[in-house]
Amino acid sequence: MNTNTRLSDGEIVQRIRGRDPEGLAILYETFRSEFVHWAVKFTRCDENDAFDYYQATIIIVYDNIHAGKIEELKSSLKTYVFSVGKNLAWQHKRQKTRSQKINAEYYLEMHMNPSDEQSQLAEENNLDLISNCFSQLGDPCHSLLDMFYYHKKSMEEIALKLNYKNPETAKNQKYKCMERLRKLVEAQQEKTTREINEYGK
Amino acid sequence: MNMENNIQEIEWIEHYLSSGITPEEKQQMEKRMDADPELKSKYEKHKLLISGIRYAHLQDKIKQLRTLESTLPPVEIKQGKEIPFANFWKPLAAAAALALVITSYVLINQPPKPEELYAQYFQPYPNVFEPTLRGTEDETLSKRTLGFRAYDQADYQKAVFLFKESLKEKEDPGILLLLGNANLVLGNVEEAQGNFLTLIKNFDELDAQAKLYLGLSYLKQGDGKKAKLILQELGDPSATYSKKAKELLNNLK
Repeated sequence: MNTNTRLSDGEIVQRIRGRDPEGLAILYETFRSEFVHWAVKFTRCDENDAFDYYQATIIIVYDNIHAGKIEELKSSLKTYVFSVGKNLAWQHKRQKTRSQKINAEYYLEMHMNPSDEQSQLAEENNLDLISNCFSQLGDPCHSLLDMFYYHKKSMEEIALKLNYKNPETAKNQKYKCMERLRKLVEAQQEKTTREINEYGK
Repeated sequence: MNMENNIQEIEWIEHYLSSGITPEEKQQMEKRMDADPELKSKYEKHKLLISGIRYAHLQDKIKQLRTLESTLPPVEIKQGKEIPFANFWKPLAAAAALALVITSYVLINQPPKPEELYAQYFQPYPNVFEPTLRGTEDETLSKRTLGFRAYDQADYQKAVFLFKESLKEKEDPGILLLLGNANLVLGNVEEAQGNFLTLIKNFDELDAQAKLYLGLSYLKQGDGKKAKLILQELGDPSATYSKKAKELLNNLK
């Protein structure tokens, strides 16, 4: 990527919204140096932790842009990025007693579970488990579910992209894929429960 | 329930989760879920599956950023007065700092005196896995918990016994790390090395910590060469704290 010319905030947001594969990298490189300096000073962490911190922040901003939460920026993109980072710091500080995982995924889990601490604890393990099962699904299920649930594509778009006869066929396939995922997750959960019970004996 | 009915319910759930639902439809669905616990449970599970799919997508993006980061020039952080670690960063950050100090000692100082380095830098890894809680009777506790308790009380002999018993029932990375530490304190160096190597081989987590303490164990044996090799692994691009280790190794060329 050419970093000599800085894109405007609007252009960066547009690129991400428009699924430009370079959008995420452009966003990442734009505030990287400034954020890492800030994080080291503000959170008093070391440089490596600051990078984990920054990566999680950028992914959250990217996710919020995708989810349509940033329709119109009220402030600059930089202010927004830093306020997400600051928020993560507060959340982490508040929950420090239970944190063992200090990496980008840790912050990501907090972002996915903004509810109370108790349910977060239960859901964190589940998210990892579901994510693992999801990666075992393979295509076309992996692409289909990602397109529908992450990119919010319509059944028409999915049918076209994945060569289904019509949207109805794509919808049935989506249902089957979700059933496969659900069964995989349940089997894995049963296995874990069995192991825990055996461990407790 | 047949497939059509099931699809119908999933469609209700997805419509309920979408932004396009009207207040009336929302109310109707909530009533339906109140009356039908099975539907409610299906809704909770479906919502979690969707979160898991979204989470998997974002995990992939984090991996992409890590790959991108490895291709970018380092960010120069101004070296000045020391910035104290905040408490919540301590265990891992301190381990990383210790690894760097030891690596630099091992690589720079000559002739290295590994045993002295070990004595200077070894501190048992803190029990962050199951800190001791007050007020619980020993009789009701598992060997695992009693092992952690003994470790917290610096009764390493007892901790080693209890951890070993606990490991017979199930392997556990946190216990292996602390067992290795307790063995190091007691001077059972080879046994400690066995614990760290098992941890590195069988688990993905606590890898950096295991390598750090394995390096320390070689120092304790006076084997600076082996210590250097293992501590250099902390500079592997895929390892935690690789950046500083890489910088250090570059400076040493």
